[in-house]
Amino acid sequence: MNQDYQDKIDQYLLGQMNEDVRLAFEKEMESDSELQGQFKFTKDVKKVVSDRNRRLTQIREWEKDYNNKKKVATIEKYEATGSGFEYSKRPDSTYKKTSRHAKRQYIYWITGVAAIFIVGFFLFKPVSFDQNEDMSNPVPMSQGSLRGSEDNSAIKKDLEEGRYDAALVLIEDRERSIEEEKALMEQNKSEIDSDEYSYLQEVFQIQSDELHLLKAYALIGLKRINEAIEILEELRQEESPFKLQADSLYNHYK
Amino acid sequence: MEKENQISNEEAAAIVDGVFHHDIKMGTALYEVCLDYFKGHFHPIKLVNEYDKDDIFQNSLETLLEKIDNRKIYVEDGELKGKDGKSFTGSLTTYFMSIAYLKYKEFFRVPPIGFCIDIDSGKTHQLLNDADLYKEILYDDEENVTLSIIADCISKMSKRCSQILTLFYYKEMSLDEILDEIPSYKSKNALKTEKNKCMNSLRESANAIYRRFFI
Repeated sequence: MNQDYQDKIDQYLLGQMNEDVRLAFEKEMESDSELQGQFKFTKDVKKVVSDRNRRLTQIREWEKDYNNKKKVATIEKYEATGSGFEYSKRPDSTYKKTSRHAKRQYIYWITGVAAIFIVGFFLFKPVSFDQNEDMSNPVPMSQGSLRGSEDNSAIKKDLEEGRYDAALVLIEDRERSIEEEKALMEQNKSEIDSDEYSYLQEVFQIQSDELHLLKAYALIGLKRINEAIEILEELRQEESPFKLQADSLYNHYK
Repeated sequence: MEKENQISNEEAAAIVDGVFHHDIKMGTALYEVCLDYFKGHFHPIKLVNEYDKDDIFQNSLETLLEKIDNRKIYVEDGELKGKDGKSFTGSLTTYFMSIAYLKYKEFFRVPPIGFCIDIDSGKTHQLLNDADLYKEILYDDEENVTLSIIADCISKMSKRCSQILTLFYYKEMSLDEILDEIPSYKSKNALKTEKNKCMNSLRESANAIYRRFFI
């Protein structure tokens, strides 16, 4: 192929020639069969490349639509129904809506805060300038100071949008935070009321269980099914709000 | 496995008609139907990694879409029709797999072996020889067979050549703009030389195919 011809052909096809130059080029083509052949070939290539890219863009849109439908169907399918059933039609709530779970969480927090106030009322002594006052009773841990009081909405958003790797990183980060808070709680165990201690243990357990379930979803998304099954196997044995969901997922993937 | 994931010609007609009229739902349906069938029936002789499988699938689907766009497969009076206005005798998914089979062969430069795989049964036996398959399926544009051949050659090009030609002829970017996009080229001249090499190689491949099948 003639490189000089190619430059002129490209300028012509891309509309980069002014009127006079274009007319001169067309006249040149009339009498030069090699130029005509190269021109026709380049014109065909331009058409094919354009059409092909347009079609590939269309196929990518279909692929995206197909993957979105598949993801929503998968998430919607596995609402917990109990051991021995693969799945059943989900009731009103969906994975995206957290009305039932959120309400329960909300009640837990309200109960917890109320419990702390009640317990704190009996434990906490006001500051006094009396030097004989015993200042050894510490202020009890306030629930709001726990980093574990954050919800997992960022993780759920990543899962919904297919960013499983990112979700896994967040989950592992949250798990580490919870371990640190649990360790802190153990350190201060002697200074915490036993009711509050039991309550906080339960809160940590619920948070851990939720994270385990979310981790299973992330691992399934990353096609690490065996690891997901291990987590689900443990989770379905425990008495937790996520037992049935774990059971349902476990039965499907096992 | 025989006939698994096949769709009826009525369903295929609805999908093809929808795709031709740019109906996104029908496009997604075509994608899903072809993907399911491809996953169930793509049993190449050589091992193919997932990335290459995906490439073969995408290229095959693009070719099928090209045939629908150019009315080489079309719907008339609710019936699916193909070459010369004849009714489709096989199924759309089998036709799709014929394209995929040829793409796979080209991809891995599997030499012509004088027989082809019966897509439905998975057995190999003599049906059409490869030349007939190519002319029947890939290079079947009687009005402009060169376009079909060039389209096929472009689908087999290296990723780098494909990228350069796309940026130059589809996105109509200047060489300076393409240099920003592909910084591995140190100068405009180097990029221009590479582009012309790609065009030369493309033209030689297209001429070779034309000589092989049509002369």
